[in-house]
Amino acid sequence: MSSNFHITFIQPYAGIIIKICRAYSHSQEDFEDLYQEVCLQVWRTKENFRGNSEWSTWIYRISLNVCLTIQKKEAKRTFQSFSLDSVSEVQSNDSSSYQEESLSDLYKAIKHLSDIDKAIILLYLEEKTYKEIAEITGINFSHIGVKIQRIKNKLKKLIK
Amino acid sequence: MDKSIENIWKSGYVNKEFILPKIEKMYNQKSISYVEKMITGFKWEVYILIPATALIFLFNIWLENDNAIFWGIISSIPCVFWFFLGKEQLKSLKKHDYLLSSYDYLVSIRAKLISIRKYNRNLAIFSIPIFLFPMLLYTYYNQAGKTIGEIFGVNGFNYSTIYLFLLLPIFTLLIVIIANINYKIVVTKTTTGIDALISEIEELKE
Repeated sequence: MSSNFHITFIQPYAGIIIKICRAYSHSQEDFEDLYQEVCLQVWRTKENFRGNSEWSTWIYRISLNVCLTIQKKEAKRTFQSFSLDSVSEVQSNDSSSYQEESLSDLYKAIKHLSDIDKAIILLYLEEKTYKEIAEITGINFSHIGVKIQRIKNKLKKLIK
Repeated sequence: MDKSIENIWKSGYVNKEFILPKIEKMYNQKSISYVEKMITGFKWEVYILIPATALIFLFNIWLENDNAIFWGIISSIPCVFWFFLGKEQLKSLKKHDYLLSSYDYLVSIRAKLISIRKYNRNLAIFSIPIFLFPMLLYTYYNQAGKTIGEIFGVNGFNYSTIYLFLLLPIFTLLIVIIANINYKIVVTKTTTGIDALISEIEELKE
């Protein structure tokens, strides 16, 4: 991967990749592996980008695809318990702050969702439109709103 | 304080600097697991020779020829030989430790695998005349005075046993063709994956 490619096409969107990978990983090591795999996949598939959507949408799509594929392969690692304490969270460099603690709790709750619900809520939190969420996830546009509402309720219950 | 998930998300990422993990490390694990997979495949090729040896021996018994056990043992020798050779080659492959980088590791494993396959191909070709000639010589002297038809129980095949030696170039030629086709298939299969990984690492280094 050329450094130019990395600087131009990955670095500005690294936040997207990090946010998604964090939701799908169970440890720092997992997170780093996912991040690396996503970056490589973005680089490998760069030729397939036709410019029909924004580059950031492309990054979302690749990130989610990679995370979902790897998640499927590691299906055995699904969590049985619904206690928030049972979910480990990726270490943050700023774990002392209140915001980071809240975010960490939110991530723990997100990790209890199904793979597709995770994708939907991450895209929603990233302020993607319903149309974009439908495009990226392949879910019927008319179901997105209801789904988001249900996921939000579930998350609120989990965080409480 | 508003605790909506949207606000938690936004405030959690406000002014946050992302620490990016390094990408290069990923190939280390990838290379190791790819090579391990190949070694497992090679292991199967070696261990399949154990039932093959038994089958060849039993086949000779089933034929009910004279000295069936003797011929069973003789015919099984090549399989036993290839088994022990394969085991040694496996050992030498496993000795390739991951020391420097995934790139060096893959390059050295690739070279080793090709040299093993080349060695096996050449050995297969040369072993045929070496193995077959004493057997033909034995048959020639042991069955002196008989025709080939009489030896193998084929009516009308009344040729002198001297013609048995024609089997030598025929079998050698056959094994040359088979061994070369097999070599090309196996080497292509082996190197395609490694080459893809190597070229990705090379591009990554640019």
